[in-house]
Amino acid sequence: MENNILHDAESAMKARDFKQAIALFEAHLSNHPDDIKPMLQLGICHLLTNSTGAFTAIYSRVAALFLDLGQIPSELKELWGKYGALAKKAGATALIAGTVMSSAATSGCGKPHSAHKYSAGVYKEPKPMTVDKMNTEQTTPGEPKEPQDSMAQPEKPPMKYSLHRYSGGAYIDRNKE
Amino acid sequence: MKPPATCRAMSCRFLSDAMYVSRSQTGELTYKRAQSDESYSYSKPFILELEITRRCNLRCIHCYAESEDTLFQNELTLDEICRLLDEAASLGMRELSLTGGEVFIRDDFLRIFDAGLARGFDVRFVTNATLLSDTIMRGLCERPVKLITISLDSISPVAHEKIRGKGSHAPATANILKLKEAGFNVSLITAFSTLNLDDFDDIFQFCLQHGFDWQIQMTSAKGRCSSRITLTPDEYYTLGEKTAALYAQKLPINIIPMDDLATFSHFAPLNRLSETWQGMCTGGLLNLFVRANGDVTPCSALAFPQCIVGNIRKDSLRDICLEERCKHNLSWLDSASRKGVCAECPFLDQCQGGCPEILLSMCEDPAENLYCYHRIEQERILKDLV
Repeated sequence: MENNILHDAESAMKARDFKQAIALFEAHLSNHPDDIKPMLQLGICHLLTNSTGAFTAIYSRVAALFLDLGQIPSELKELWGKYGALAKKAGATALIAGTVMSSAATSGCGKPHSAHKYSAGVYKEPKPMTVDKMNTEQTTPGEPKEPQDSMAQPEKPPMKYSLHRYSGGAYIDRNKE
Repeated sequence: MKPPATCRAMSCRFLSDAMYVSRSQTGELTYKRAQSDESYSYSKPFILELEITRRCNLRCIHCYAESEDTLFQNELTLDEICRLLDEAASLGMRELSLTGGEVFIRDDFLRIFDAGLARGFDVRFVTNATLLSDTIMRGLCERPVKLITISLDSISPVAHEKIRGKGSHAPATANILKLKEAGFNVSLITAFSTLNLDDFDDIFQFCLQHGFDWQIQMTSAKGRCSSRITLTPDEYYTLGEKTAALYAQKLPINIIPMDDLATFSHFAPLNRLSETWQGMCTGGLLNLFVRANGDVTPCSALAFPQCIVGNIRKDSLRDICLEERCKHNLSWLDSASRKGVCAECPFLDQCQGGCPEILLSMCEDPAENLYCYHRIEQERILKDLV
């Protein structure tokens, strides 16, 4: 029965019926709240329906579970890495960076690190790696490349106005906009 | 005769094209000019885009108008253009954009320009910049020119001329710099296809070096353009990423992505491009296109037979606008008519399916946009993770 729910959830996800998939994953997780793979799949469904908050919350929840476990189960490493890459691209890691040590994430340490190791001061070596850094090398198709250093500029704030956009050219007063 | 060394653009001040877009509680969008608080509607569009000829000295392989150096029959005369401008002015329109074909190929180009000025229009134009004679240059220096937009497809002569034909690159680049040097507001526009996508960074550096604003768009399969050179959705995504990386930065030039690039993404910086989408297609509202034969469409990007809403030889511009024919013509763009991924899209209310030019020229079914970042991301994520 449980396997059927998961199977149906994955099928719904593949068929892009994300509402159905979310309902089924949530039904499964209500009985198995620590089942990480469906939790990550649920998070991806949230991302694809633009529920970034729910996607981010699952990222935090799973990161905390891995800390409790002290390691990332080998069968979940690839999925977690890809999920982390998506979180980075979606800007979600800015909210939660620093919650996971690289050693816990990548090598499977025997015991969890205590929280104070992540803060500045007491332990300077080994240098903690944030979730951001942990996922730097894990890419997924479509991940935007970072701008080249030579072209890097401060980020522009969101635009307050719009323009007519056609091939005839748009005149923008650089001093005022 | 060479233009005198003192031939300089007139020093003028023009209102910016920037618009504030607001959405009422019922979802209705309002467009107000930032610097004057003037608002626009289908009965008073912002800009009149006038194709003064289809004739062109070049024969670009991607030309929507299928222009070439031949006399096209039935093109609007100066008298007809003057009557059109009278009507547009009486509707309250104040912005005129001249396009072609190649605008300089018309002997009466400057007279058309003057006809616009005489009726209170701010005038701008688009050119390939290869036919900038001394006479035209002097004439431009004597007139208030709001903006000159020049097509440049590559910094490389080989790539540019593959698209625009032999001998087109050197005069274009020389005249681009000449106009800039004379003090005109010059912006460049590049339409990307498989033939010049690799030249993106070089064109940007050229714009940055010389201070040109840069309009970026995708070549679409219409007119003379074959789908053999248009971008795939994956290449479109790459173009979007490159554009967004520049757009998100504070730069001394303006990066202006066209509506075809303004779809929605889950990821930064690509998600910045959706902030350039005006909430819906504004064809017929922020611009209205009159073709050289008098046909009227909501936008030059919508020069499709099914988008013709009248002809100014048979219909008055006033009727076309007051009857909101462009709005009716584009009514198929409503959210309820979307299909597939578009129908289920979390961004549908804000996007409404995207730019209709792309839907009509690049998609099998115009109810579903294949050139959409969200759609491409969804496909990639599902393929990779499920």
